[in-house]
Amino acid sequence: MLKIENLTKRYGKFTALDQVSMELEDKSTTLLLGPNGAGKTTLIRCVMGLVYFEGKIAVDGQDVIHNNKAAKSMVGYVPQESSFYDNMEVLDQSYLIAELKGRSREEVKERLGQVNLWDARNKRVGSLSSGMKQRLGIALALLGDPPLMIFDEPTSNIDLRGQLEFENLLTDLSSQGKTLLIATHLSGLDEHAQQAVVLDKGKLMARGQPGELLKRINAIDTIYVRVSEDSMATAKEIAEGYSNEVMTRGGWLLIPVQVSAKASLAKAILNGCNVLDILIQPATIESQYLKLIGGGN
Amino acid sequence: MFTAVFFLLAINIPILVLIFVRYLPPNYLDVYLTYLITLSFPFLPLLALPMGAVSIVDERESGVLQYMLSNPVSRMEFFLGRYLGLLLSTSAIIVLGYGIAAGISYNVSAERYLQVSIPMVVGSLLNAIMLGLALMISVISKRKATALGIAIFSWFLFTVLSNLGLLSIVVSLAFSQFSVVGLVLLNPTETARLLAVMLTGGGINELGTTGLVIQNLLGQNAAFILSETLLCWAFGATAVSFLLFNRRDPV
Repeated sequence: MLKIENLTKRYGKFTALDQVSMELEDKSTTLLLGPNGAGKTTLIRCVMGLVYFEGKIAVDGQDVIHNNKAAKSMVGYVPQESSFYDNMEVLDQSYLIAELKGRSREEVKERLGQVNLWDARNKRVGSLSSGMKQRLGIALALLGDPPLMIFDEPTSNIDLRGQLEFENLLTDLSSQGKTLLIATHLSGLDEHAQQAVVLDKGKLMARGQPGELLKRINAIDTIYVRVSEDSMATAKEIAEGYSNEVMTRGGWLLIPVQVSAKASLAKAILNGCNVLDILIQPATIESQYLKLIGGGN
Repeated sequence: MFTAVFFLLAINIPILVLIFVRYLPPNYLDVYLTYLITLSFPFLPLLALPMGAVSIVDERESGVLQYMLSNPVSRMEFFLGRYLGLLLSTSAIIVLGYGIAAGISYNVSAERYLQVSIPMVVGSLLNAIMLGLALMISVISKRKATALGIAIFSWFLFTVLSNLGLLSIVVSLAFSQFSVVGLVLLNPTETARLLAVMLTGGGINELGTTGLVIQNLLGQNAAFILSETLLCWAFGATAVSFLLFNRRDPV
């Protein structure tokens, strides 16, 4: 669906992207990971043909530079900060974008309803909250039913409820057979992804399935255990056999442990101690990607 | 607000009083139009320059430009849409300003509206030039405040700093009369003013020093050359603005 070959983008002497190549399979979900300034947004801008670049990008075979309109018509883009004409009403803004995409007003009604914004159609865009603006951005991106959806930091400006709604949306879009590219530095989305791409300083540092990448870096899960007072010393002793970074916080033991050792540690504690509660926080590719770029332990 | 100010400028209340007391010569329209052109033309750039200069840079700053261009619309379509939208709205103010004022104040018949159409058309052409220059300012500026500053300075340059009445005498004495022609043609506001005055049949008083030099050197071709120059300005400014817009990243 999306093919990027030797993508290089320079701003003067600064190289924002350096020879990046990647490919998105049809109907797949890809996470684009990296710290701030890694080049994620620049890469997306290149895909949208918003900036000039060296290399080649094609969306479903359509060259982004030479067939810019055709390529863009196959992409629904939700930018990090949805920027609209603040003085326009939601409906007018939506009609404008629908006009540009050659879509009908009926579809506008349908899409606004889909994101629960139909009741706010007569409000000025400037008066909407960040979450509502993002929903508007999603509704407008969905106009025309594009096969490729690109989200730039989709969960950065919304609350927890919004994040959960967004995850549901991803599930829906995925089940509709859309190809998704999600630039993020937050966790919680890797279960939706078949591929993760890690960028740093404009270079592609790693690419593969999230699970494979986690294995490659010996990712660390964290086990939280609360035991009775008389079991605390035993639990700590067992934990220290698996991890040398065991901490105690308010009656809980925090045990960072390698993914491969997680099960046996949990079993040992359950067998040897009076366990009151136990939680396991799995490693996610979003929380561990720093290791892939050499910035973490 | 500009519409109201422009309307009051064009309606000319003293003339209105003279009409009511029937104290006007038969050719008052000719005389008044040339006077009105000299009075109002220097202010016309104040309509397009600030509006055009902030339009693109404002959207770039707010991220709207990036969002709009992420939709299936080419840069040329976006630029032309912006240019034509601003051109129509600002030209409408000029045409309606002169037109309504003429209807109310000068009590002109339909056939004499043709004469009133001269400042309308030449004014709109000047407006198109200023809009092209304004968009150029907007494209090259990084911030809205900077663009607005450059726009206001440009107006100042075209009207006050290059007040060619005095400047032309100096240039004429220092170099030659041909240098004055060059200076006039490099200033679209002065070129438009002279063209409009010539077409409405203005005399020596209204043409001023520069007009006399132009008439003396260019003779009967003066109006043609001035109008061609204005067309070149309009096309050139818009084309350069678009080329710069097309070359630069919108973010």
